[in-house]
Amino acid sequence: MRAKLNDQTDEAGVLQRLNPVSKLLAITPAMGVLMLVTDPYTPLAFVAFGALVTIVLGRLSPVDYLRVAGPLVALAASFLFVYPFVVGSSAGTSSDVFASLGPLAVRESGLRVGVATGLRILALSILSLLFVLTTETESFLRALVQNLGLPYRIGYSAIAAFRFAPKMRSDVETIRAAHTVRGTPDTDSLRDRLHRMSRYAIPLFVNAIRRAERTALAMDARAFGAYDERTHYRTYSITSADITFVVFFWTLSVGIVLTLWYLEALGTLTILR
Amino acid sequence: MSALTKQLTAVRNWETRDLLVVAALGIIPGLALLPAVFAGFTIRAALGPLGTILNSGLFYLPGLMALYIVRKPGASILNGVFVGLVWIPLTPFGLAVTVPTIVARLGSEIPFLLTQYRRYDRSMMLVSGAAAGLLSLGAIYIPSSFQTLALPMQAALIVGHGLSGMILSGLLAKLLADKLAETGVLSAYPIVDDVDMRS
Repeated sequence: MRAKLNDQTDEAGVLQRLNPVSKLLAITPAMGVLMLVTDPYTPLAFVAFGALVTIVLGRLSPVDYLRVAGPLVALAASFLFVYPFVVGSSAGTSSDVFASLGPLAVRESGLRVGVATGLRILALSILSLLFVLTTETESFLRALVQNLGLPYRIGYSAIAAFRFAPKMRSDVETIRAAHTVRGTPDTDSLRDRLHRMSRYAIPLFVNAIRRAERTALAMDARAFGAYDERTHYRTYSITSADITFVVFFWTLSVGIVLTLWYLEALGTLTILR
Repeated sequence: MSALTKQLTAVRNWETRDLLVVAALGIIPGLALLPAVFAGFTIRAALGPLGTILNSGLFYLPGLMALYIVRKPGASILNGVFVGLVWIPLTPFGLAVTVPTIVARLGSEIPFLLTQYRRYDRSMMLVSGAAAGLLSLGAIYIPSSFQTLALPMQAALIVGHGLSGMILSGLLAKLLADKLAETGVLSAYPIVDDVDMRS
C-alpha cells in the first residue's frame, strides 16, 4: 500500500501544518465575542494576541506581516475620523440629531464609538489573517469536505471552478486583442476601464459557462457523484496537534475576556443594550 | 410542496452541470469582486457607513444571476456558499464579509419561495434584490454599530440598501443574464423561454 500523502506535514510553521478546519474553529468564538463588544480594550487585546500567534506559530517574518496588516491599521484609523461626525443622538451625544453633522462638533462619545468600531474591525481582520496567511484555498476545501461534512459535490465543484480563474486571465487577453484588432482604442483612463469592463463582461461569462459545462460533462463521464462514498488522495484528519492548538487558543481567548472583565475594562455587550 | 422542500435540502437533485455553472458564476465574480471587497472597506472608511450602499448591491448580483439562469430553489444560496469559499481564504475580512453575503442570498430567495419558484420576471428580480439588500444590512447592523448613528443616516442606509439591491443586483442580473441568453450559451436552461432568440 502506498504511503498516505498528507498536506499537513510539509510546511514550515506550526500553523501551516494544522488542519484548516481547526484554525477556523479556534478563531470563531473570539470573532463572535468581538462582534458584540463595545469597549476599545477587548479588540486591542485580541489584535496583539492574534498578531503574536500568527507571527510566532506561522513562522512569518514580521516585516511581511506588517506589509499585509499595515493597510488594515490605516483602515481602522480612518473610522476614528469618520464616526464622530455621523454618530447620532442614540449614543447620548445630544438630543439634536443634526448636531453631529454641524461644524466640527466632535464629541467624546462619538470618538469612543469610532475607536471601538475601528479597533473591532481591525481585530476581526487580524484574527482572519491568522487563517488567511497560513492556509491554501484547496486544502481548506478538502478539509471542509473531509472533516466538516460539506457535501463533496459542492467542495469538488468549487475546486474545479477555481481552476477557471487563471484561464479567465488569458480570456481577458484574448478579448482585449480581439477588440484591439477591430480598432477599439486600448487606453488606460478610468473611463475606458469602466467601459471595457462592461464590454468584457458578456464574453467572459460566456466563456466561463461553456467551460463549466464542458468540465461538468468530463466529471459526469468519470462518474462524479455517482456514489455516496468518496475516497481521497490527500487525507485530512484532526490530529492531537489540532486539538492542542484549539484548546490553547480558546483558553487564552477566555483568559483575555475574563481578565478584562476582572479589571472592569470590558464594556457592555451590544446585544444586552 | 414536498418536492420543493426535498429540492431545497438535497444537492443530490442537482446535475453536475448546474453545480458547475453555479460555481463558475460564484467563483469568477467572487474573484473579480475581490478588489471591490477591499475597495468597499476603503470607501466605507472614507465615506462612512453610507459607503456600504454603493458596493453592497454588486455582492448579490452573482446569486440572482445564478437563480435566474438555473431556476432551482437554493441556487442563490449555493452561489453565496461558493463566493464565501473564495473570500474566506483570500481576504482578511473573510468571515466578516461572507456571513452578510450568505444572509443576503437567503433574502433573495424569499420572494421566489413565496411564489413557489414559478415566476421569474422583472418585478420578481427587483423585489428579490431589495430583499437581499435589506437582509444583508440587517446582518451588518450591530457589528458596524449602525444603531448608534443619527436617525436620518439610518433611514438613508435602509432606503439606500433596498434601492442598491433592486438596481445593482436585481435589474443588472436580469439584464446580464438576458444578454447571455441571447448569445445562445444558455440554450440548455429554462431561461431561454423568456428570451427572444430570433434577434
